[in-house]
Amino acid sequence: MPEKQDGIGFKIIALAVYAFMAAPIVIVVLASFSPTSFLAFPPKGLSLKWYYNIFDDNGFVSGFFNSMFLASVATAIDVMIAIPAAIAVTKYHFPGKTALTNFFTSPMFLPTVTFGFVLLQAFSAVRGVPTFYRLLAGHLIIILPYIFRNVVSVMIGFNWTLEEAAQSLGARPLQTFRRVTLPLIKPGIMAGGLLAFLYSLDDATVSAFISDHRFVTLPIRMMTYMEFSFDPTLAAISTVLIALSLGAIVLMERFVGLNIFLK
Amino acid sequence: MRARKNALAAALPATALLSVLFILPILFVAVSGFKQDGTKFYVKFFSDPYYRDILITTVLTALRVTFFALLLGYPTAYFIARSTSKYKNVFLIMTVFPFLVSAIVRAYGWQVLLGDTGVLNQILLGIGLVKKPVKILYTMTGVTIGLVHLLIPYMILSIAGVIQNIPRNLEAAAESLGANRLTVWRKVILPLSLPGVITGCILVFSVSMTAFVTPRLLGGARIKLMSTMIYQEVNAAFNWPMAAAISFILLGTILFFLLAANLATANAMNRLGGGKRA
Amino acid sequence: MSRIALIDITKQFGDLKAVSNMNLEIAEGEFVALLGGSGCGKTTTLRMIAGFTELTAGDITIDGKSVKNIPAHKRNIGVVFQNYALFPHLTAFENIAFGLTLKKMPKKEISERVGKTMRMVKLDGLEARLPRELSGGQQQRVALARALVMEPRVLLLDEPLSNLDAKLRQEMQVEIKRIQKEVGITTILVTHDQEEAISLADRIAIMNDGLVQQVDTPKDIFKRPRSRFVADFMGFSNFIDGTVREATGVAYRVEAVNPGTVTGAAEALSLDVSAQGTEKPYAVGDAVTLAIRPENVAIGFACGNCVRAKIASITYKGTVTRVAAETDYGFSLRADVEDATVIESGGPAELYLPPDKIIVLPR
Repeated sequence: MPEKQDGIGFKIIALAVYAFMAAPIVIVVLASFSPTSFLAFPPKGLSLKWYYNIFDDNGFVSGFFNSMFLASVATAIDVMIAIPAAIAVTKYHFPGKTALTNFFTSPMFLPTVTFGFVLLQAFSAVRGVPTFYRLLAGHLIIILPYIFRNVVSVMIGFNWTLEEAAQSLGARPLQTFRRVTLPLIKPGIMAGGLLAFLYSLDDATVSAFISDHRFVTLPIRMMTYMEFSFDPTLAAISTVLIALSLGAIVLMERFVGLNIFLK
Repeated sequence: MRARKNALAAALPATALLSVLFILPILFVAVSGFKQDGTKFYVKFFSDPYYRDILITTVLTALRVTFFALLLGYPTAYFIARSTSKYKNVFLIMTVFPFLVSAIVRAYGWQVLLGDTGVLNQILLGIGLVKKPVKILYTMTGVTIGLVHLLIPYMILSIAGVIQNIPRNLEAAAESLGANRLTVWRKVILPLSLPGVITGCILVFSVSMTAFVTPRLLGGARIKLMSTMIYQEVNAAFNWPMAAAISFILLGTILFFLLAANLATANAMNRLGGGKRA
Repeated sequence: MSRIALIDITKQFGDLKAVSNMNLEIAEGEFVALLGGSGCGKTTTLRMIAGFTELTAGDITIDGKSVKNIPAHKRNIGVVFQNYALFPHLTAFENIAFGLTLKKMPKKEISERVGKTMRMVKLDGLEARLPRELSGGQQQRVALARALVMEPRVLLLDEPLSNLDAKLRQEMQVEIKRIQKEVGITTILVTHDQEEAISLADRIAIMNDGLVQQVDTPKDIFKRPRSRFVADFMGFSNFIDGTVREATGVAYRVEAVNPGTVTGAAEALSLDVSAQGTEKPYAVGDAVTLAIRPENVAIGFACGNCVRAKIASITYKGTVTRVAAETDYGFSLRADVEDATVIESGGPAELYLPPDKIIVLPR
């Protein structure tokens, strides 16, 4: 049935909110092209010099690679841990199932600052753990719930009879998983993996407590840079990160669709 | 039984990971804190108004952020949930996209926008609306703006998800029974969207209480919230025991509010009947 | 083609005994139906044969060899699931070929076997379609083909037709029967639909509460149910409890218990029943239940085996007219007649129970 046009008021508020949400991001991208060291409004021209500056000995490049590496390792490990965990709580029924599910999502409820500090103190008591592994430990924990919840949400409606069908056709348990279960839960894994990866990439809270000169993550590099300089190199590196996120979300939309975010 | 063994084996890696790297460190820090100093620093926190006020400020800030996020997020959520397909995907992307942008990048953007020499002030000075730059950055207002910006997508998605499940013909039915648009909203949409509102508010509240990057970058040294205090006690005052106390007090406060919210809303959820049960 | 034996199998879920000491032997190439309402244990039995559920006690042998400890994926048993369980991410062809690709069969051979099976179930041309692009009947055929292409020793069908509309169900029943005869595979069908069991199976095992009530050919179960439960299930919806008063070689006279609760009945109701339809001979004094199908009850005139009743309702059902009546003796009767013009709702009637159409069941 044809829908009445909803109040124009809603539309205006919504558009204003979206403008609000887009504002800082747009500004950052604009600032990265500013020829002057602060963003003049209206902008006075275009320049790429801040992008070149990224590669000057600023620690941004190494920070970028450090963060990408850390995020990749953490996400890869957590994907392999979260998938069986999600299967455990969706396929089987046992007393304490809900408690276990809550346990696996619990890191989301611990303030990241608290956890950052806890790790700091805990690792200082255990000497000799390299900075990278301290960060890895922290990230493994904080990104796990994102993968777990997304995989669980695709598995909740999963038709487990499909596994029995595969068995009846002669598939061993591992074959069943690879050929039937895995392809069908891929959207959840990808959505969760993407969120987790970006969360690790952007984390400045745990890193603020754990990261040091031996392993500097990009967010920390950016924050320390901000403490003594406001120049738009930050805008340039930020724009690179924004482009990365944009690329990721476009990929998500193409291959998996975004409805998964509506929970 | 075979099935149960499989289940436990599958759950083992995650359980081991969380136990060793999550539960263990927390227990260690908490217990050794009590062993060394007892409750000294906790008492100090609550007896010293300097620290107490920080907790109060944090809670008030979180409430304020939640309020604005709800105020702005609800109509936006309604708009998305009810919009027709052509633009809906675009809006969905625009809602989800900020999630994927680092908090640092966003905070930096606000700095460029709201700073004394920022875009906003340039415009205001340029058209002559003000004589001196308006100080928004490094004030509570700036932090609030930054946090609302950070968290409004959570609110929107929470509410939109629920509204999307409200059958459209309910509104039509109400109208056919004589309700005007306001009444339709009040008596049909509002009560049914309440679960999404509640979830969204709980989410926004808890994250704003514990956010670190945004308050630190937009608030500077003068804005004191629990999360930034923890960092300060570690890096400026080298007072680790105090940092530990603040950390756990923050945790306790969050848990308290989460529990209270869950209890309060369990009632509301029950009355609303439908919707997913745990 | 294999023979199957279920030996004293039991399945217990906590306090619930889903299957109790069930015994059944199925010959090579035979088509057996497990028939019963929900919760009777038929699906649990099927799952135990397939290997998805472990036995609590007892054994299952195929060709004499126990399969109890063999995992499901090694039993070589074909299963067609109630909701078809087609792999949504694979085409019809890939679904059917799935088991063959696991065996690392050469592509050409797979293509041949799948093609042959698809032709047999009349699915040619649909190879590239995904399950969501197929109709219910087509999905069903893919499920069937997928199981059959493996050339299993046994075929298990779990209520395969329950999701189809009436017309399609009839068509598929014919198809399944044809294919089963053509391939000659030992088949077990689980269903709650007695008409389906009757049209498809060589033998029917009626189950209730985890126990087998009766195992017989469709004809025998239909005409000669041996217990009240089976009779009720097979459509004998009229029951009269009684006691045998006279017994000759060829007939019994049975007196209905609870006579005359309605005023007007002066004496007890006596019915003559032919002894032909009974399993074992009954003696005077035996407690029995008489049963008769509604379509065998006729509207009659005062006669020996007539029962006086008041008509409660008359419902036109197309092929027959259903008459519900309250007898003067405290029990009700249902009659499906062709022509009910001689009676009217609320009025009196005499309902005739032909002696040779009444069956006698133990009470």
